[in-house]
Amino acid sequence: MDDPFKVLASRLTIVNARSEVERAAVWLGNFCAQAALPEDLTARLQVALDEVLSNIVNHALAGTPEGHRKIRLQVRLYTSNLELEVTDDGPFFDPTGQRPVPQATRAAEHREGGVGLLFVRTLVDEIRFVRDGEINRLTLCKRLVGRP
Amino acid sequence: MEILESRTKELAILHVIGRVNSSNAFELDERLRLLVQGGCRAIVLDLDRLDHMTSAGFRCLLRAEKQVLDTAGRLVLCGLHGLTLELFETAGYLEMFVVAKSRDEALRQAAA
Repeated sequence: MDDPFKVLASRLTIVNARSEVERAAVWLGNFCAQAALPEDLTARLQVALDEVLSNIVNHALAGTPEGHRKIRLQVRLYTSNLELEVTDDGPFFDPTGQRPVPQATRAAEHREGGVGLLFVRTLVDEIRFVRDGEINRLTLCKRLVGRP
Repeated sequence: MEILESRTKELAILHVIGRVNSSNAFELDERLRLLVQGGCRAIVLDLDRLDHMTSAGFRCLLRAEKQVLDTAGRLVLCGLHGLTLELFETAGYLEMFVVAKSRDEALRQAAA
């Protein structure tokens, strides 16, 4: 069903490869520029997306040859919030169930992925995960302050 | 990401420009590793023109600091601001690095 309050949206499909993460960052940056979103918000979303994608590529799809899995991205801008959805058809992987590394834990003890998840939780307002059939569907939500 | 480098025999200044993320952090990692392996004992990392850094970049810095400390060297950061500074604070990293308020101060601390 069409949402009358959705003002802009974009999709991108990438594969599980390190270079693709940069392509996703550029795509998101272009979308935010088109929507005239502040640079600081763009940077926050790009960091959050990088953490999510690197988590999928390096952990959820660990052992999968590069380029063998598709990851679909969709960004939706509404009047007062923005949603960034990441779906993949890899094994069940719920990053919201992982425990982020607590602040001020010794650096040497930091698990890869733990700090990234901490960043995501800091940078967005809500994280939703559902296992939709054979699909992992992660949605990052960010409220937009000061928009009409 | 672009990395500008200037150096003397003992001191290297790396000016990191743009964004450091999971697709290019290995370049910064390699650059820092080669400096330490090449005998550089004092490194200043100027992040003044950094747009943002993800956790992949932070892991590079943590590895670099360990390598520098193992050789009794010194890594000093400067130019932290905005989102990068906020993420340093979020992760509790500020207390793990030597952070200078200016490039001049970083140079003094690195050379000390």
